[in-house]
Amino acid sequence: MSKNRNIAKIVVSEKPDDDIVRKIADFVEKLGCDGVKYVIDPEIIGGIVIRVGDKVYDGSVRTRLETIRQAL
Amino acid sequence: MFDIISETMILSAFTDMFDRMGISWSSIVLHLIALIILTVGLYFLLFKPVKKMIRERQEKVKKIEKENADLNEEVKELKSSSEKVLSEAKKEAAAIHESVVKVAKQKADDIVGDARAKAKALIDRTETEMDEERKKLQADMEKQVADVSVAVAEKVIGRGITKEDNRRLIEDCLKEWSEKENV
Repeated sequence: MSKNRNIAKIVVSEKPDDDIVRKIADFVEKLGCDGVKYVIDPEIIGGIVIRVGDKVYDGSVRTRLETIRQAL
Repeated sequence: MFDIISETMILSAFTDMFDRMGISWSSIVLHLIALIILTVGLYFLLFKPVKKMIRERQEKVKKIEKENADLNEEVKELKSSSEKVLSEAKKEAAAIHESVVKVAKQKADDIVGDARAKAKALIDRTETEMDEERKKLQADMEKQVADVSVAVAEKVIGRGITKEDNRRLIEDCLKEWSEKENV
């Protein structure tokens, strides 16, 4: 295992099914990642958060609610 | 002629009368001399000192009268002067009273003006503070409403979100990011 492997950290509220896992793997592969690490966090309520290096793709329900709260 | 006869007759009549009274011419002359001596003596020993004393007394009285007149004049002047001083003092007292009343009125006006300014400043400050407090309270209330709304939404969504909903959410996100990143 190389030290420079680009691992994507995936946060979801519950374990995804195989189809979703495949689609996630395709997406992160296109971003140049060669591995994924899943974290189950019910606090995000729903949706998905992908962290690749310094970049974060946040599509969690919690973040959307927080955006609405800030807007209010 | 007639006069000489008359004088002689008068003299003769007096001589007769003195003779009948037992008075001689020598006695009369002596008495006259004694009278003259007495008169001269009285004149020098009594009349002159008494006259001098009366003159001195008169001068003294005149002096006293003059002093009295001077004193009366001085009293009149003093009275006039005191009346003048009293009048001036009354005028000065009236002026001082007027000045004091004026100063007191000015001071009272200043105090009232100052109190009004302070009251207005206090009211303005209180209104500003109340306005700020109201805005702060409104902001707090809005924040609490937002927090409560989001909390309620979290609970509702957390309970209501199904596995299919979650799957669709993830797919939508992946699609959106793919288009955005052009991958």
